[in-house]
Amino acid sequence: MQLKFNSVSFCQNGDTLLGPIDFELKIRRITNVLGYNGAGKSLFLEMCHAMINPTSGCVYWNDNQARDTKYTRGFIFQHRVTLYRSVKKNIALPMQTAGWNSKLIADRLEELLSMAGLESKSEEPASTLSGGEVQRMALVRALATYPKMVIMDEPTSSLDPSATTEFENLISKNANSGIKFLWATHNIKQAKRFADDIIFIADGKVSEISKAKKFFNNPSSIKANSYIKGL
Amino acid sequence: MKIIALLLFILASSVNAENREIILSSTTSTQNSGLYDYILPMFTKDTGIEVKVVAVGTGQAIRIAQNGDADALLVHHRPSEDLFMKNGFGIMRFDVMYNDFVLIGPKSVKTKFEKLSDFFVKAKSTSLFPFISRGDDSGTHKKELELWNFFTNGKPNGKWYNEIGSGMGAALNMASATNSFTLSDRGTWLSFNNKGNLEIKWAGDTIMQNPYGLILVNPNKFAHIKSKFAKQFANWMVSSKGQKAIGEYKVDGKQLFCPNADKTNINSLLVCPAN
Amino acid sequence: MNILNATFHLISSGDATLWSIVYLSLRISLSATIIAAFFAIPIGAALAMGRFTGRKIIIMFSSSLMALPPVVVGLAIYLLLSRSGPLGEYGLLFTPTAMIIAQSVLIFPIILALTTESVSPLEKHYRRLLNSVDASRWFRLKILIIDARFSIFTAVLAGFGRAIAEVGAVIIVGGNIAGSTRVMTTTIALETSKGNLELALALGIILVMLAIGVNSVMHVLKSLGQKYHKELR
Repeated sequence: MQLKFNSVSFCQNGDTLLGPIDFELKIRRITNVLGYNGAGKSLFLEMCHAMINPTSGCVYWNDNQARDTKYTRGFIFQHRVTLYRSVKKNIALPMQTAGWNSKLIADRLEELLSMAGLESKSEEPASTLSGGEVQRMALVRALATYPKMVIMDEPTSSLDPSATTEFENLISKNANSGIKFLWATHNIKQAKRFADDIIFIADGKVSEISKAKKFFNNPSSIKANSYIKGL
Repeated sequence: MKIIALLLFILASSVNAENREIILSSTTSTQNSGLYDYILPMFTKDTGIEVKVVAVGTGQAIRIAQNGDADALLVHHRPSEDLFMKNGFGIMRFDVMYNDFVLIGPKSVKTKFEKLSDFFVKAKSTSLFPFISRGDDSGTHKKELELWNFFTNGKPNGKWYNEIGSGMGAALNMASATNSFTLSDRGTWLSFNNKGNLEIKWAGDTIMQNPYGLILVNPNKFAHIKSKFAKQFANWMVSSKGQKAIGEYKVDGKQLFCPNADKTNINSLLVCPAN
Repeated sequence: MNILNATFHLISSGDATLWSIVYLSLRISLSATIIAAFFAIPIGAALAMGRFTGRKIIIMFSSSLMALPPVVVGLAIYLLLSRSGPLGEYGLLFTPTAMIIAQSVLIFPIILALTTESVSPLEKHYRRLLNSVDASRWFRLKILIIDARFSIFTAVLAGFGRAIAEVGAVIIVGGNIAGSTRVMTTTIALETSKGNLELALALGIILVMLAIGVNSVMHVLKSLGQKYHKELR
């Protein structure tokens, strides 16, 4: 999946919150997005998924505009974002908006529930799930309509270590099956384990894009250096 | 969608087809006397025609007929009725019955009046008799203004004179609650159930007579006027059967209305409500 | 005590006229509620969803409507339905249909405003998620109405309460005709004007009992529904 930002910026109330940004990147397997809080990671990710439209410039995936291709991607939020419905109905959401018939949905649901390990909780209200369970549910929901790309905004930030591990296992499994991930995190160790490439965001701009090995051993900026060292 | 079908069903079940019925626009006083509850079933039994009575103030009743929303009009204000006919809204008018107006006042006021004019003159000069006026352009209200104009120099002005803009029942309720005087038609008075401390202070003068007229609304002015059925209604009301029924109607053993459709026949004029 | 006696007497007498008046009141107000809700719920939910052409006009129209006294609304509808008015040919004046129309118009803004209020917080909560799955406007409308259904239900009940207690509009467009357009409220007005105050109060008590009855049935249905769909509390 080829991601392209073409003279993208986002202004609000006279302030340029993000941009100008210009780059092209091929997502090989997993690309992590790093940066301090407030640098613009979430804004960046939401623009990748056309949830927010840039005030100037365009975002492209494989030379198609991001806003026309939403259905080819999934998105996962940091905090619990669910419908006031059962686990089953939450996961079914993208399939419903895509217009699948109920048989297709039912069959796919079986697979997804089993992938997330939530078969026993399928009829429970989503609000009763634990943090880890919610994010696993969010992941299979994002995968429901066979997207090639999943964008994640710090999905494990509020999870305990064991839930984080479970979630990461699911990521690995899916990455191995060919799903690409664009993943914001502030867990350096996690990024070191997973990233093929790093996008580093600072002060609303894409400060650096490098292969992960290069970034962690020899970052291009002082800021990036401090960030990696946890300062 | 099921909901749309439900909606249509709801609306459809409420609309009437061309039924054997007419709409009679009349006044609250006539309705409240109970006369219609007594005579209309008889008419329906004889002809199979249902009479739907819309009872409002005289002004509104005439207005409804003027809009063509009624098939017949039965009110008790001759000048308005004549104007209605003159303007071509009605094609035929019939005398049907009359009763009278009565002056109502609190029992606690012991003043004796020599004649009717006494009350009106004294009320204005002394301001001692609080008065409730309907103030609603009804037949009763118009008669009341007529009396003020006839006996004094016009409508009173003062704190003791209260124009409430409401029906007869409301006026009587207020008169009872505030120990005031008011002018009422005898029908409403007799069937009024909250008389409290009120009584009839004066009645019987010719000027207090209250004649009723039945007018058929002009079908040439409006489409859908049920003129055929309305004519049957009028015929029945002035027939000896209808007139007898009108005269028979009693409240508390007292006759309320004098049938007068046939003025030439002395026998058809029954003894009418005494003081 | 007189009044309670009169009430008990009325109910136990099984008077046919009384029960036909009760039936007519329920039929008219329930119909009006269904019709008003049919339009007010989707429009109210759409208003909570954000800008669309005509949004400001709808809000203005609805708020002005709520500020009008029922009598004025009744008058306006009378002029519309009168034989000398634009819709005269349908012969709707002085029929229960006219009363249903009048009450629908009257309670539409109430159900509309309360629906918007119910849906607004849910819309905010669902917005980002629905954004991320590329949901169409139509899909969002449906899911918001369905998931807010219990609060919307309360809005509809409020509309019904307003309808069944109304007298100003229905008395003008209905004519308070004995046996065909006379309902509880107009009967109470009539009996009061005749000085039959105890009867009027007794009827008033029956009306209140009626309203409580309908409300109770609705609340039972609501809690049954909530128990079944335990996701929505």
